Amino acid sequence: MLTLFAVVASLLAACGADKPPEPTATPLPGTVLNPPRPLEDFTLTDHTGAPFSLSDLRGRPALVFFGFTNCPDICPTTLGEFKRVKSLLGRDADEVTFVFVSVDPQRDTPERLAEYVGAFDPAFIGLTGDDAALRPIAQEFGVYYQAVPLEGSETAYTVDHTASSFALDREGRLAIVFSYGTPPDAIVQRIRALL
Amino acid sequence: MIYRWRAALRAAPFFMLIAGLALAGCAGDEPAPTPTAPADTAESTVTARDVWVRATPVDGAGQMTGAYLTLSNTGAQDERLIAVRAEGAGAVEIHETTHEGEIMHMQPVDGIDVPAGGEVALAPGGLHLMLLDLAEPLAPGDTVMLTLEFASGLTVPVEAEVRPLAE
Repeated sequence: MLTLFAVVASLLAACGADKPPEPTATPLPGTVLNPPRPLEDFTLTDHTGAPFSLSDLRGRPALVFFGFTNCPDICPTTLGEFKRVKSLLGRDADEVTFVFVSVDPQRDTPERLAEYVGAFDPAFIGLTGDDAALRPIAQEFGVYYQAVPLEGSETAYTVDHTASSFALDREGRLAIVFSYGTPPDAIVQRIRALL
Repeated sequence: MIYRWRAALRAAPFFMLIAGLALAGCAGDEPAPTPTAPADTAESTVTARDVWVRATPVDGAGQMTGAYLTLSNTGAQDERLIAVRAEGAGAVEIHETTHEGEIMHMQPVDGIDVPAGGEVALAPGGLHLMLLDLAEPLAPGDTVMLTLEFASGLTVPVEAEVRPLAE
């Protein structure tokens, strides 16, 4: 019996020994700002129509994305990734606030934002504000946005915009910048450091 | 005897011509196309698969959304998609998402080449169709009829399924 066990064990060990060495880990995506950058407090309107300030986010880390509801794929893809981040956070999911800031105040009213973010997760926050309020906030984050007319329709336009995602720490400072398309599990790993 | 040989030789081209015409006639004798198929799509060399449209996020008319598909050209000539029509949309444009560093741009393109024997995929993050001025919002499970128009005059109708906004 023991002999059999020994034989099996040594066979398994041999299998283990034959495995090639683990490849060196690739660097984790996400640019960490060291030190985190303080942001000026701002107030926009949330998807319930109430005023919402940056200072309202303090106390918990936040993940922020700038986009617009008529965006055909970049924005729904990113919000879908935020959903995935939230589910990967598991028990810590409620410790992070997810925020979508519209760069299209003309079309993205609070009501429209409520339907949009609600389609992804009822806890996600949508923010909107006119260009005068939005422009300085976007600049602080390093976000570019520009409406571009579409020829096929007299009224239709798209908005070119920076598609990075931003993690804020508990103090509301800009802590990490993620490129568009950063895998959700990398975001989760980075965000856990802020919890 | 010799006289007949010479005559035969002189007649040969004539007979060859007759034979050639007869053979051409045989070659042209294809089975008739099925009566219901219009001539230019009876043997459509361009097919589309995985045709889908993203659901619209909110209620109300006048929205826009993206559509995606993979085009396959099994024919011997190159094709170029130059226009698309969609039932229920005021207009359809062909777009490409590009990026300059972190800034995303979406710009219209004149057409998409589908080379002979080749495939082109329109997918999120790259080439896509923009359906503009939708008469009604689109919900997952709905279908949208698209007509793909190619520079050669070829038109291909395809049915797109509406998929959820996010997986």
